[in-house]
Amino acid sequence: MIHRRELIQIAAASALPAAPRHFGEGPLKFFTPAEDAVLDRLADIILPTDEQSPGAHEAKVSRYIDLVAAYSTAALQQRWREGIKDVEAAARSRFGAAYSTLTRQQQEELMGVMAAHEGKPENALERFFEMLKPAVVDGYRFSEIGTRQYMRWKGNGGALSYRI
Amino acid sequence: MAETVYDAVVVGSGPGGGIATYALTKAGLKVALVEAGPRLRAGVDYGHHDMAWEVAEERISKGIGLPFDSVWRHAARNHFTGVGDRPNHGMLVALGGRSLCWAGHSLRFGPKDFESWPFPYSQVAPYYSRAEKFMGVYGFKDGLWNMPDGEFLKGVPYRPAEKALWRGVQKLKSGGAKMEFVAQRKAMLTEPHQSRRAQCHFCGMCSGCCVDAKYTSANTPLPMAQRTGNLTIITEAWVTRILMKDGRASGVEYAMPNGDRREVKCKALVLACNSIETPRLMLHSGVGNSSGQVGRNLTSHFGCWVYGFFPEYARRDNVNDDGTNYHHSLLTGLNWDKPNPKFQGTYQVQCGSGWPLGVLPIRDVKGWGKGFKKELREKNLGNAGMNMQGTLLQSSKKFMELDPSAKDRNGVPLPRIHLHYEDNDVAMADDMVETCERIIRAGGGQLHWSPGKMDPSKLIIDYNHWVGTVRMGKDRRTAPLDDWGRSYDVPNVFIGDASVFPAYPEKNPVLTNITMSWRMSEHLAELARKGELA
Ligand SMILES: Cc1cc2nc3c(=O)[nH]c(=O)nc-3n(C[C@H](O)[C@H](O)[C@H](O)COP(=O)(O)OP(=O)(O)OC[C@H]3O[C@@H](n4cnc5c(N)ncnc54)[C@H](O)[C@@H]3O)c2cc1C
Ligand code: SF4
Repeated sequence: MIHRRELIQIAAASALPAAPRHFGEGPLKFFTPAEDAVLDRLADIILPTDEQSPGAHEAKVSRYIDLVAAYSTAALQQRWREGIKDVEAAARSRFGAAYSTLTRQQQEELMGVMAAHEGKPENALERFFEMLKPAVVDGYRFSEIGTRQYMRWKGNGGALSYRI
Repeated sequence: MAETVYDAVVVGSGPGGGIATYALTKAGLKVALVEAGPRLRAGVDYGHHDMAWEVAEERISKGIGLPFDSVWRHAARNHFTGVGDRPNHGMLVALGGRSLCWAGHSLRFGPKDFESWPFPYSQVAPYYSRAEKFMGVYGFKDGLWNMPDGEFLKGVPYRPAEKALWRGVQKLKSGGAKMEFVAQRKAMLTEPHQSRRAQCHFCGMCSGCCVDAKYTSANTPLPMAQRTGNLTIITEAWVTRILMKDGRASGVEYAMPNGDRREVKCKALVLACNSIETPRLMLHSGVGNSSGQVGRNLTSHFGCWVYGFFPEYARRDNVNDDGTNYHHSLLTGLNWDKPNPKFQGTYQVQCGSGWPLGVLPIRDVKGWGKGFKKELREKNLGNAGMNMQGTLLQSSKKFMELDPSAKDRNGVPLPRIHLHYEDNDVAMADDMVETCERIIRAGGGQLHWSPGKMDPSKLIIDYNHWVGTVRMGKDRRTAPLDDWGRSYDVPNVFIGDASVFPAYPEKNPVLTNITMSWRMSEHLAELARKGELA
């Protein structure tokens, strides 16, 4: 027999909003929609859609980065913000327009500039690439698309089927 | 009310303390287990089977890693000071100690390894068998003379790219090289077991197994000890001093989380705090060091990584590289038959491959865009990693002592660890790297990453494998313990952790630690039965 108190508890529990099934299904935590749009495109240029799997945009990678930034130190938060500003500034100086209005080809050209000295960055924009890329890779591998379609993970149980 | 005097107090509940507690309570002794940490529940306080994308926010907001919720995040940091080449010390302060997070690798030491111990392998073999049956260890019978087969549950094979390493080894062997490549042996259940722990489902989260398929002190010996009715567990009790009376240990003093001190009394004392904390407690209490050897003879494993890339596996379509952690195989049998002219001692290499869930073994791929995405995938599908583990030369330059000034919050001096890599260590590391590179090439692979020519700055100490600081020996002038693990100076003090190892081969410590602690505990129980400890 269930007591009234318990019934109330059960009712209260089921009234809780359902937890999001995937990062990015809730509201932005740290970045503005405009910043998120820039990150989203940068991520998708690093890991685009190909014949293997959809890219970072579909995988909501920018929203993973939003979570990482939201819960990091003020100093790191500032580096993210400034990095996005540097990208904007580079878009203006190179193409005379806002990043989001550039063609994908121009955005890719800009990525080439950001990644010019990978591993040995020489300026702020290149340093931002060093910060961005691992976060994009992490967001992708932790996403459902990255796990199921890119890695082709299908659940546990393969180990015993290997033959020595 | 009369004060309780336990037949035995065990301090520390890691692999060594856990089995001692079981063996002593089973023999009928009334035991108090004193553990500095709290009880952590598998699948509740650590280890969760969630998909990373579902729990990203919860985990990131709490600073818990993805994809796995490793119990190692509860580790105590900076509980030591160091001198020399980046010494380090890992400790999990919890009921079960590092048995909660260990990787389960369980390899017997062999006849050659026991040559510098006070007793031969043949005397230890039956204890090994008992320990393996008790823990539940999977493996294949490989027939290697110096890493003898044990009582194995059904073995787990290695992943595809590790086969390429195996092939490389066969090639080098046919050219006369002495080495062996076998599947790992781990304390995880692949069959039903008397402990009634769940069977392994190959999720790869072994640094905190959420279903207790992996052996820990907390899931096997301690529940069994509790069922005897002879056990009292005192958690969150940090032992600060050994209490002495008439040349014998009469108990221990411990600090509660709020700093208050309590005492617990006993007829026999078992220290199993680990190879840094046990000598620390002895030195701080001034107990059992007439030999001057407590804290000396410190050794561990050290090494570095080499990665190979095998293009033949890079285009596998269907990935299902799950399993028990990354390491599924082992390169061993090196320098067993005759010593290497360039260095003393030897090493083994823990190997792994492929792309387990959410783990990205290979990250250092340059570029961006479609080419990068494809290469990142292929490099991870076709990788095989070789994690070298060599034995650090025991010498007067490596030891632990009490820090002359730094203290913990209970006012006990911190342990200070001295680590200096010597020529022998560097020469061994050079050989490790060279051997791994040769195997990768002989197996048809490319070298993806190698540290190249060695120097001490490239070496990594395995700070979880320290042993040797309170060693057993036949001569009380050179060893603090007799050949059972009993103090020469204080006859009712016994050591139950890997401090007791008189010499260290390349193999992982825990199985032998458990074996030795069980052997010591039975000896203790026998002495108690004869009334020698009263
Ligand atoms: C990630 C990881 C993977 C590993 N993988 C393997 C492996 O595959 N194979 C292998 O053989 N080994 C492995 N190891 C090493 C292994 O875990 C340790 O060697 C082993 O746990 C040491 O056992 P111990 O009982 O001596 O000490 P610990 O496990 O450190 O336990 C000591 C216990 O004593 C308690 N304690 C310490 N001081 C006091 C005090 N003063 N008062 C009260 N309590 C105290 C601690 O809280 C702790 O619970 C691994 C370790 C780690 C961290
Ligand atoms: S792979 Fe097996 S032993 Fe490892 S965590 Fe999963 S169930 Fe536990």
